[in-house]
Amino acid sequence: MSVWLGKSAEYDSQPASSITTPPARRVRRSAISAASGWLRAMVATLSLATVASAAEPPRDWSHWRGPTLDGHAHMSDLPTSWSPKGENLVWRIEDFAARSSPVAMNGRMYAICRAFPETTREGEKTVCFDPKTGELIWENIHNVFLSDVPAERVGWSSPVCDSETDRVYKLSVGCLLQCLDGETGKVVWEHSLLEEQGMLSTYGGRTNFPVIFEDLVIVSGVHTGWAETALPAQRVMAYDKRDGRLIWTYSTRPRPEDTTYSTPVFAVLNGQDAMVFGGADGSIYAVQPRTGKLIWEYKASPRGVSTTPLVDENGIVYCGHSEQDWADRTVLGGLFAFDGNVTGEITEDQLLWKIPAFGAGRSAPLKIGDRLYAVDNSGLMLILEAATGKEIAKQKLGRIMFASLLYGDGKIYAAESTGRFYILEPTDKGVKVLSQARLNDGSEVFGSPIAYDGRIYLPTNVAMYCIGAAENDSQPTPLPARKVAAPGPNPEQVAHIQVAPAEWMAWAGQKTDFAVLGFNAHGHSLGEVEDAQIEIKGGGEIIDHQFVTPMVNGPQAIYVTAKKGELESVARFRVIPSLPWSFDFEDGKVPVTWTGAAYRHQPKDLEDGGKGLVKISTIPKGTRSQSWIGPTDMSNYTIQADFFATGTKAGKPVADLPNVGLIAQRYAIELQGSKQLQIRSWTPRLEQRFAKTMPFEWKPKTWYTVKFQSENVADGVTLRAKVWPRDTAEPKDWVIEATDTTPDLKGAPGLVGNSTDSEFYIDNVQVHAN
Amino acid sequence: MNRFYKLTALSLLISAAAASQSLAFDPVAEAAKHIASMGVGKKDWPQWGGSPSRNNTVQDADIPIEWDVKSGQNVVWSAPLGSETYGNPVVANGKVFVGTNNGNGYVSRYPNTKDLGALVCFDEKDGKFLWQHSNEKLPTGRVHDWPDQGVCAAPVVDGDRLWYITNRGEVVCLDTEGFHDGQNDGPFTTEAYENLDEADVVWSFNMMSQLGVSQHNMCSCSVTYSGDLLFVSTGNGVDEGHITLPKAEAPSFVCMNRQTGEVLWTDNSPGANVLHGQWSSPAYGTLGGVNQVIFGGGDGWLYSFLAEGENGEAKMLWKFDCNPKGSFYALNRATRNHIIATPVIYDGLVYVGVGEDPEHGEGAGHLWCIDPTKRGDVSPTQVFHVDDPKTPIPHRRLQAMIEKDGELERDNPNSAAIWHYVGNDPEEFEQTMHRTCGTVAIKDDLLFVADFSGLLHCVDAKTGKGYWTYDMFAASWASPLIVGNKIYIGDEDGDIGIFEVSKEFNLIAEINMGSAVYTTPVVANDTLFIANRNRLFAIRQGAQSEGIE
Repeated sequence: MSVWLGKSAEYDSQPASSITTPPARRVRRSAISAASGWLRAMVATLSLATVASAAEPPRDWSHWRGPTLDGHAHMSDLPTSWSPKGENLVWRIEDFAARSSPVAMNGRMYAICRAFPETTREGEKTVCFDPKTGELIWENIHNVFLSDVPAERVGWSSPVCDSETDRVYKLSVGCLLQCLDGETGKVVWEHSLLEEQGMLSTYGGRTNFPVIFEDLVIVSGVHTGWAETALPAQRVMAYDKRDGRLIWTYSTRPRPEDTTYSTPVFAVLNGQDAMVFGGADGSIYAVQPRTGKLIWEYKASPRGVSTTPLVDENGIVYCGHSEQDWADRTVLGGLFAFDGNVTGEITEDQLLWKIPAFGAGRSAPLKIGDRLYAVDNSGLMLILEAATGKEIAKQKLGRIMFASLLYGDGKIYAAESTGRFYILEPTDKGVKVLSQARLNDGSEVFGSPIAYDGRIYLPTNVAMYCIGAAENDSQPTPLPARKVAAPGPNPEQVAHIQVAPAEWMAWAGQKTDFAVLGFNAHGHSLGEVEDAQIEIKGGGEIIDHQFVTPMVNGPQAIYVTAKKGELESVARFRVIPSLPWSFDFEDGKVPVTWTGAAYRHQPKDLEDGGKGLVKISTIPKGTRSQSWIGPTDMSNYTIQADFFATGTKAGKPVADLPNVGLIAQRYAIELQGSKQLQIRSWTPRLEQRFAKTMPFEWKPKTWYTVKFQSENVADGVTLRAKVWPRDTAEPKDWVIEATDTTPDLKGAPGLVGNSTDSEFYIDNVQVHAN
Repeated sequence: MNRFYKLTALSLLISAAAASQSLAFDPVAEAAKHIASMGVGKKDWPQWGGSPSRNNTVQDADIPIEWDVKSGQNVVWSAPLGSETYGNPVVANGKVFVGTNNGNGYVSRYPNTKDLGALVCFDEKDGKFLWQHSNEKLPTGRVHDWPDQGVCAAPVVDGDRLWYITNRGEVVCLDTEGFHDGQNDGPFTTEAYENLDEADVVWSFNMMSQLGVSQHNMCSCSVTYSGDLLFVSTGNGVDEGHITLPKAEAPSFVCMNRQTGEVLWTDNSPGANVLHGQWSSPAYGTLGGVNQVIFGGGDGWLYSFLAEGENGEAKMLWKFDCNPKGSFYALNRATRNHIIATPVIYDGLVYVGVGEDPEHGEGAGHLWCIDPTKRGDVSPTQVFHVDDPKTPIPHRRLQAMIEKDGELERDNPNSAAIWHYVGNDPEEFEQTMHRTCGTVAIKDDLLFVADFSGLLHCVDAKTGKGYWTYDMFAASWASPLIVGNKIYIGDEDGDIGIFEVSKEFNLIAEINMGSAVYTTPVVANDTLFIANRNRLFAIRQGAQSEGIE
């Protein structure tokens, strides 16, 4: 966890999970392949590609909705027609096929794509390319591990750029939050939110879009975390963009039905800065972006809202959803508008208007002048009076819509999912179709088109298209004046305090910068609060603005409470001793520091004496789970545990067996109910990526010991395991062994299991260095 | 934009050929005869597809070609449903049954904020709510029981009994009178609630606990029966990771005694090759003198079994791979599909198209006409290895033939394929047969089917030649209904398209229902019933009800 050692500290070497490759023109794929993914040594010596022009680069498109977060492109000379067969097609590159929009900064464009698709090395990559030529500048590749996400859904969310630091931030579909150097692709810092927070990485693939606000990069996901966050809930987390320290968190209601990917947008509402987003619990929220303090909430649906809201210059919020409506449970979907210059709960009667059953569940609304353009999931575009919701016209675009509309140079760009692309002109009566193109290459469009330097970039799952003229005279047009937040009442008075970091997992003896931050009522920073009273539970001390963790014998939770008058803020840290570890559960508790364990496991008095854990078959949506029990920078260790299949389900006898197993270094070993033993990395890519499976006889009502070892070797990582009845001697030989040559070289130890078919006990979890 | 596409000049030749043949088979008379043999009204619509042949063709009725749900013109009544409705309406003995979710909260003990699978019973004459069978969601979540999807299956009704499959993987037999008859019918008599708004369960069979089934996302089979034999497809499918079938040994197909719920035979032929879920509904008919029950497989094969089984076990008669052998299965751009549509029996032949979960997007489709009198593997081709060209290679889940490994495809001399329709010009989107969840409807030897890409196809049922397609410009999950010389079909934009049953394209009307229509319109007792996403409408010539907004 070297990232925490100080604000100026950055990784001195590349994190092992990630490789960066130089420009394609110098190192070809085959050369990378020969290096077996081991490019750590090479990274430091990369000479950097430079982008051709020395002139002022075009205006950045840092966020997928554009510089004003509303789908408006402020530039001249955008194309009026094109054809995939050639007209106005600058380039088409299949290697940049993407599910989400690209973004651009300092003359470079960035996208997230599948890496090495349909090969044993498949993973996720961030690519950086020259927008004009499509020439690759760098790519950063990492594995997808211990995730249910199918390869086809890799790259669900767009990266976001920060021009102040020239860095690019992304949340991978496997929950890796990365800060990359925009020029080189080197990882500046990263968090594996799967392992650290139990963030869900699901089959559906929905991944939230990171956003930047001042010094913060803000992301969210549904977590099944630890202690106070053990119940599944969407947590919004704001990290210091410079060093990755967690500054604040905000949790929506627990046990949401869905994960979501509504991108937060920023606006000034009632004179204060606000971040507006759709929640996994179905509400639209506004929170203060510097503090995470709630401003208002509107309950739109009992299901997740994935639509990115639009906030206009007057603070009117336009959004929609395509699930059951909160207010009328017989209605699916809705499009609505309300005044965001309020606080508290926004009720149905506060809506300016609502169009029930219009399933605007994906495409973000677009506002041009006093009209609103919105497309439902089945490709029907409504053109409305923004103030009243009165319908002006309808335009059917196709059958399936994921993309949001883009507006620039007097034209609307609409990409329907099955491959129809429209360029439309707003007219008095509605819209006029200027041109229509059909992608006949099997493309499905999930991401939205963007505009950059007079060209349109269209991502599809087959290719990235650059549309426009190879040479053009496009000029930026003025951006609308940005609203500035008011200082608010008593601007010098501290109205909110926040202990930073808000959360931290550390090795015993590690230090981190520590501060109590003060904010006024409008959420403006008032700097460090020097006179806060600090109370520490669980050990450790604050020395010279640093928190020093105690030396501990076992993993320990530490709560640091800061108080200033009535104001209070609590930070929680997890301190982990060095190996070896041993957990016998005789204290009758699920260890508090474990991620994703408490909600899905319960303490249990075992029939044959002593205590252990049980995984019951009736945990709502939690019978199949993964949990982690340590920091993510561990390697070369052995984990073992005892498992006992009870042969019961909800108290009734069953013949089925559960799945039980362990995690080491981002690989799982699982003793499966289907009587096999399996080592794997990426759950749905067993054959395509990496797995080894063998038949293995085992039976219920018998204690087994499973031992799993990870060892970094010359050509990758070797995983080996053995399983034996606990009351017999440990066999000398490993029973299963496999080497992954596209390795994950570090990762937290943990547990996997599935009690859907049978409950099981766990006891004597141990981890030691090899 | 011209949304109608005439497929080929060949149609003239074909029609001349057809005209020279004997009179076309009359599916309406056949279905009417079957319905008359059941314990329901002669003009009722007692199950999905009307009869076990599953051909959505109705006796001639004076059904309007215009109505207005807002003003109530030609609407007898309408009744609210939940927020999502996928269950096709069934009308029998004065009642209408629809599967939906609990968005309307009909039953007092379940507020509308509680998600349920709900089978709702209405009075046919006025739409009055009578009772609801309520099924709480499975705690394991969407892998077995997707939120808000309600009950997706349609029941079959005979006398005062109905049978259907719940979202919890149970086959249940209910008393159609509910508790309105003042009795708790059994053997199951321990219902926790006997209020009039509750359902009277006669028996219930849990396929998850008693057969080890792990349905994927939903059980959607609309059951049918012959005599005492009830035919059920289980929903068995993949786990959360979508790679492994956790219960590959569990049956895909089941035959039960409909009086007792006793399992008579089961079959798990698709086994570990189920691509996603086992979601198709069975058809039944006597074909070539043999009682056949025909199931669409989650592995993309169509299977026929001897209805009565043999010595308590399944007896497969034939199986047919509906996908090209080189096609492959994946999440996006898969070319291998499975079967969601219901097979249809028409004039001694079997018709079915392939499809996929709509969540997986659009893709290429195949429509087949199959001779059900052959036996064994009656697929068009078989796969061999170049080193052993005489031994067919057993089917594999993701791809049956891998050319680069030396595998090859050869015509099967035992093929039962009569014809194969992929559209008249697969280069052109509007002339291509796409994936479909829709079931065909056939009359006068003209077959109509809608695909998930929103094209309605008119195809010669005897030759497989396409006559025309029409782009509804909205995804269709539904199937056409043929009434007299008109076709009625719904789409995701909520439009009901009305077309003439003709080789010549003739759009009669398009009427919007106010929200998406995922179900298939039905006609019973001279009334058209349409369930859109959240409301059930009864439509009849000359009626007038209060409109809705």
